[in-house]
Amino acid sequence: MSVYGPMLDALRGVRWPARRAVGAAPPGAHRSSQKGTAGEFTEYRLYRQGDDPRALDWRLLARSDRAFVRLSDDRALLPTWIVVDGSARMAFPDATSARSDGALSKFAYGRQVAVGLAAVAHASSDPVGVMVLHAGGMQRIPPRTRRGAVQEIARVLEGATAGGAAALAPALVQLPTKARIVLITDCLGDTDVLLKAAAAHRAAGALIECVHVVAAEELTPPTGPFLVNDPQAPHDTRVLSRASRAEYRARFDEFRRDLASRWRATGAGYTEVRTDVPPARAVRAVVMGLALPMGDGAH
Amino acid sequence: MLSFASPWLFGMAVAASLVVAGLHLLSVRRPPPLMLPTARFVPDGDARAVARQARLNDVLLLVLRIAALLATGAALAGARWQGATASQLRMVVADEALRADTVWRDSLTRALAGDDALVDVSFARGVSRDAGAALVAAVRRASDITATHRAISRVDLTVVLPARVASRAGFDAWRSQWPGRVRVMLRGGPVSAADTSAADVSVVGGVRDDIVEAALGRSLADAPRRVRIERVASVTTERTASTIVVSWPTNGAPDGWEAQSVQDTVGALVANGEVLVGPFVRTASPSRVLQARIDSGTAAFAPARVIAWWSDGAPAAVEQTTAGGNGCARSVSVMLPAAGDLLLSNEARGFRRALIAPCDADRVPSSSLVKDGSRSDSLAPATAFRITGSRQNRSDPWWLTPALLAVATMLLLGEWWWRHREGPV
Repeated sequence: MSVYGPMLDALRGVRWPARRAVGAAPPGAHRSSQKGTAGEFTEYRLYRQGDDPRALDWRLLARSDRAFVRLSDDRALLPTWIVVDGSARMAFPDATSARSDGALSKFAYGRQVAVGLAAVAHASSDPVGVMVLHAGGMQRIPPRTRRGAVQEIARVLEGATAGGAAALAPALVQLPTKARIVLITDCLGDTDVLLKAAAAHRAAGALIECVHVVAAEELTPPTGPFLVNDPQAPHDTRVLSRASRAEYRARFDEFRRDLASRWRATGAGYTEVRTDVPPARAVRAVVMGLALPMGDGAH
Repeated sequence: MLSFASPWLFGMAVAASLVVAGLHLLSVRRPPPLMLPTARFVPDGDARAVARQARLNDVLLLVLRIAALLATGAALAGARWQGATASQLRMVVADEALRADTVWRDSLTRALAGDDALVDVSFARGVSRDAGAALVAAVRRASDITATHRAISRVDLTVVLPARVASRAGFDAWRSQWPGRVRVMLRGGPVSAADTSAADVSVVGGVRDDIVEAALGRSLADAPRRVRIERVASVTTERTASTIVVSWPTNGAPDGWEAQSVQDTVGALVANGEVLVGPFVRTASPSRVLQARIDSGTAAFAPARVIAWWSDGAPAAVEQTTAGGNGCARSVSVMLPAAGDLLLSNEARGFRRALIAPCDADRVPSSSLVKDGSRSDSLAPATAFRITGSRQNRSDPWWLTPALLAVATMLLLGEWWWRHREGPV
């Protein structure tokens, strides 16, 4: 946890409220769509047959001879699933590459954001779980509220290595709909299928958050002609030259703009984070639903 | 100054270097690979890049490659390094007899020396017999020197001849082979005018009705020159400058000749360019001593020269200069028939004249060659003497070719090392 210590210190006191009322759930910190009798008073309602007599306001009945029931909003827990994309594309830039300048890879950055979000959710007493799809397959920890849940999540993420080409959509389908699901991905995989699955989950009541991780080196690739290959499509070789850089950037920007609008159209939250932004700041942006400044990028 | 035995080979190396330089500027090379997850946004295109702008390490590779090519070309072309840059060869060819005369040689060398000239003095045998020997030696010497000194462009030839030479036929024949001016210098005293006076010819010791006496005998009391023909062996004790003794014994061999164990017949006798055909029997030939004097020419202590030849080239009559150098004696080994007019015929005129002529009468004054030698005003071009061939393709100094090849090998190794250090291009 020492790696995440400074970031967790920076996130101390940050809360992550649900963007809308959650459904029936054990009492928690989030506003529930259910009305109950316990908790903070909200309004009176005329007694109807079948109401719990214990909910009657007896004093009001005595004064006005009318039977009213005291109502109050429910507070509910929100289980949070953090899904981390550990495909081969997330291993960029390679830490061993001379051109990386020691920058974090997208996977390492996403790992930090995931731990930060888990810590924030856990601080709200929400159960937090994680699912990571990486070179070794898929690992998942179901949402838990107990102490040490964040450390457990961090250990699982630390043990994962980016690689392979596992799709996120099938993993998303497996997750419950009564939960907040955070997808930390570079959106370069099965984006179309993932958007459809996210829309279906959203319609079923899930809260979907997409954290789009963009490497700074993807926005400004190194100068000079290079033969570029997609790690997951090594046979598709293209030349990134001075002449083609501008068109590459224009296409990438267009892709990100289009992606942002499509995610938001599904009712999901969408935040683009760049790997050269401190992870704590990215976590705050996700939690608060703010857009980070991205230069001449999508935002 | 660097020159080449085969400049076209070096020219090919230069052309190859230009091609390499062009390829460096126009080479198609693969850029380094880069894993980029967003590669799908890079426009499609030819997966090659043409680099027309050379980078610094490319320039170094180019320099290494061109240097290796030029070094190899220079080695194969027979590179020659000349410290001296003389453009003119002043060559002197003299008779071998003048080799000991250092005073003459030094003064001539000083006179010919110049900033832009290389002076070479050489000696040749047989120049006194025929001046053509000097030209032959000059052509050979000029070929050697011009092949070694590539900077030489002109050759100035000076031939030093004795006052008289036995023949000028060789000089006339070889003169056309020298493509320039030939300066003829005479070494020796002035040549006296040819003695055309009649001689008092006496024949002693002959048999009765000797054919020799009939053909040659003439008594002129006031003649300045006397010829004494002795038909017996060694009767003369008197030898004066004005008397030419001709030893022509009737039988046996004259002094200096050796009788042959087996006599053979010879069909003709040649003297003064005229051929006398007859039933001659050869009974003697020159002794070793006499033959050595004949072969040595004027270098001998008592020079001898042939004045009549058999048809097969063997000497038939020889003239020897007397020890004092002011007279001569002749010996004839020709057995004549006992009777007949063979010696009186017109065909025998040349032989008769050779026997009674003044000493050295048939030698050619070298002064007659002076005009023929300078019939061309220009100096001979050095290219006329340079020949191409495997022998001429050697480098100078000899180690220049292996040294250049070693340098080329090192440059190629350096190029290989640098290329692999840089990584695949």
